[in-house]
Amino acid sequence: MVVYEPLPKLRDGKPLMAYIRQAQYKKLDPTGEKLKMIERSNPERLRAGDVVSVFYKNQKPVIGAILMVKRSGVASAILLRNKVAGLGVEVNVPIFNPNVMRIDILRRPDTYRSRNRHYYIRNSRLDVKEVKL
Amino acid sequence: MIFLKSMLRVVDNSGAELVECIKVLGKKPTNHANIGDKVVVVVQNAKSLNQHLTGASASNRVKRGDICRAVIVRTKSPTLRSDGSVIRFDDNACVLINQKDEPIGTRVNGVVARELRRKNFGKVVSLAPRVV
Amino acid sequence: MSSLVFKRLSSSAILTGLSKRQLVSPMAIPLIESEAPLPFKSPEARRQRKRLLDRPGLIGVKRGMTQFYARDGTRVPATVLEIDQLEVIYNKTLEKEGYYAVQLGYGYKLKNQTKSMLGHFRNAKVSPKECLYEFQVKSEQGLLPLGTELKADHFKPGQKVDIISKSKGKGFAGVMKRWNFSGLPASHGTSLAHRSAGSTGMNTTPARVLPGKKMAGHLGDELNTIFNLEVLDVNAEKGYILVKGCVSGSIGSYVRIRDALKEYGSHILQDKKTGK
Repeated sequence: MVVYEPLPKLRDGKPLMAYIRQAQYKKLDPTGEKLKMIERSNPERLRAGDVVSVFYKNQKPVIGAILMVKRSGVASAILLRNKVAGLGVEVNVPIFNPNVMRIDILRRPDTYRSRNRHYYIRNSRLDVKEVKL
Repeated sequence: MIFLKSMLRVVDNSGAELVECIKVLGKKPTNHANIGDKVVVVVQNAKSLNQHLTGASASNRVKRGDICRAVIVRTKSPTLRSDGSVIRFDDNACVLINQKDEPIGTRVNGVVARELRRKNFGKVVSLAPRVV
Repeated sequence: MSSLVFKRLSSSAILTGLSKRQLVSPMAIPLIESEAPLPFKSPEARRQRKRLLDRPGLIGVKRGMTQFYARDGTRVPATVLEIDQLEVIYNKTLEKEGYYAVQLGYGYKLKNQTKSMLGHFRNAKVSPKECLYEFQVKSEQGLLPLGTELKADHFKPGQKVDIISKSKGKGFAGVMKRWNFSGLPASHGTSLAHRSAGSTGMNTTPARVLPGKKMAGHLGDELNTIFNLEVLDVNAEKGYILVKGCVSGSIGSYVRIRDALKEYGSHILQDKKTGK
């Protein structure tokens, strides 16, 4: 029985999702700055407890203390908490959004707390203080 | 997510302090309100009338037991924005409005969400000292 | 019979030069042959009533989900569909099979192929395939030469597509999961029947359960079509399509992608009337 040769596989047969991930990083984060900010191997990475300000292309900056860093590819996000006139306001910022220009660290704590997700400080005596630019 | 019987803080100078939601308008079948949605409320706590420091005229003031409309300006439950960010506040708050969707009071205290502008409550946004 | 007589009358009037109002005996006119109308339930009449597309679609594989940022920064969920080693295997024609269709094959698989299938692939001069599907097209112009390789740039970003795939199997499911019934009360004497369906019908009349009654049974693992999904991104070189939103089925399942039928499809009968 005659059997014809198959067509060559695209991408040399490498998995598609791995390629998509790389392509998205290349498009959304050409300098690699944002990815480095959340990499665990980086000692200067963003951590829960840091006070940061996020600068946008099209809106005012968002300021607050980081409650948690969610690492999940291009869906990675940081949760910021701040007090505005005594009222707690939380904003979850997807850091790979093309409108996010840069993230500046305003202040780091002297000693970090022993958890990576600081949900428990909400409305307790450990809660964040009001931060302004 | 504001339901029937939810208690809301009032952040204007209409005189009301605490109101209870008795109807969510135009949200069937889910029947819960988010930021920018209209509800019908009943006033549970109101400031006494001799407190005229706020500057609102007496005709605009509401009393305990009054039924009026309100627009939600802050919620505890997270609100998703089109750019993927999520915002939540530490309390549920509203501003009292009349039948023409204009605020009853002349001032708005505290922070309100940006979503109100897109839902044609630009006046509430312009009165508010901070918009997030 | 009445319509036949009417036809004879109208055509005979022109033949004999008489005005249409004049009464003519049907028996006085010589027989004129007219085409027999198609039976309503015949396959050909069904084909002409059906909404069809001008060109075939593609076969893809669902590879997972991700997120896509539009130019203005809005974020939308996206499904990644892989398109690789996709070739035309066979063309079905009106003369032989009764309708026009393009049969496509995806991937490469030699194991457990029967001799008859190997012969089928040899005729098109393509390698043995994992997965075969056919796409019905409107006319002969939609058919493609055998062995043509189809790539992801078949579709364009911004257009709408329908995606047909098998949903995830859920096994034997009760009525609450399968049909969203409310179940029975939690208390007030309900005994061991909190998730049951309740009554299934009436009493002595009709003394049976009516056909189509929603009951417990197998849920999922059936073909599901999601209409009018937007194509966000296309890359023929790397072999993928990104569509907005989600697609039925598990990761690794085969999907059929076609131009949105409700937007781009049309009926053969309607085309004849409008003179397309």
